[in-house]
Amino acid sequence: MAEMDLIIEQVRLTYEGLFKATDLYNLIDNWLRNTGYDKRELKTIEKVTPKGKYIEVESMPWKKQTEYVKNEIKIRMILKDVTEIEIEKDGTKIKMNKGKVHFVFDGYLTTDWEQRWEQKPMFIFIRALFDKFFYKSYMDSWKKNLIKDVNDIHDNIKSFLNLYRYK
Amino acid sequence: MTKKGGNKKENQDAKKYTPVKRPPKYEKEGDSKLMGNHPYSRIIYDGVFDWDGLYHFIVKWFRNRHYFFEEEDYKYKVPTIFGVEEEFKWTGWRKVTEYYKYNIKLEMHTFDVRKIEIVEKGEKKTMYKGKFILEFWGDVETDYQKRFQDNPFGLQLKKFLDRFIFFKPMDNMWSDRLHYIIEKFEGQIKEYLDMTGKGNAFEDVW
Repeated sequence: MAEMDLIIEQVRLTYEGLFKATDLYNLIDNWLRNTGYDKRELKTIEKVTPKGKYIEVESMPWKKQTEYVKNEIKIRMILKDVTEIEIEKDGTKIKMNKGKVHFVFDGYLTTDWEQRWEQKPMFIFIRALFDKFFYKSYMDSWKKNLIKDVNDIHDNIKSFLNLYRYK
Repeated sequence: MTKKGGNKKENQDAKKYTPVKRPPKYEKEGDSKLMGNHPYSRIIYDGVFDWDGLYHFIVKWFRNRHYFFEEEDYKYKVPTIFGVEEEFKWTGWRKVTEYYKYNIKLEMHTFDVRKIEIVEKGEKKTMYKGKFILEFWGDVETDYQKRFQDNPFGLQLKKFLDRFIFFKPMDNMWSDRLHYIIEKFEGQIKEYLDMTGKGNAFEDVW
């Protein structure tokens, strides 16, 4: 098994008010595509409740940094009490959503994802040695890249949702 | 003395049983499962949906892409006052090359599904209300014609090829492509159900 290190944990974002759910979803998709991540959607839940829709999307996109290391970001998007409303802007009617949005981000650094260094105990020992002493500086830069990516998607979503406050 | 006598008897009994010679059992090597032994992706839906339409949509999707569609398993449970519970297992497979084959499996479990009538744009329509879990599985099967599995040499050759020669194409091409095929399929089902999380920025990949 490849080794997964949790580097950045439980970065949260909460918003309540007007937004467009499909645009929000597309924003994440486009961000992933532009930054070279591969999409992997683990779970999608959609329920109709008396207060509105409950939507939960859990995805874990990944990106190969090298042949040895890959980034994995776990994104949990929870939308609660989502209702559809119509607002009027400049004389035209626009369909929007109203509800609560909650995001949780976790960043994992997966090493030896090709499982090349797990064939023999000796290999595992060499790998541990290299990770600890020789690759230390590289590991730090890979971790920084992952943290940067998690913060970037967090900021992108935050600024996107903040735009709705001034509409 | 008694022990010796007992041992003799045991030896005689042991001679009666001849060991069964089984044909050599070769384990498959090189097959690639998306997400290992877990479903690749899941849709959990609770609400009103067009059940017949969804079924036809899934079958059409497979047929349009030249997959052989099979219903592996179907379970129907005695309906309760809340509705019907059913389980489906569908498989679609397609030969990609002489060596690779794609298998896409769908598992669907419906709960408390019952017929309702709605009025849409002045027309009466039969729809279904209930809950379902739809799971997507996918794997790339190598040597589906079993050409390399007749003799031990062929099997060793296959293992060598899968491990050293075909490792990169499998990782970069075949399993990656299947990953996006399933991803797009899931996106289209979401779009059919008019879910909020519809749309796919990766629609043109592969």
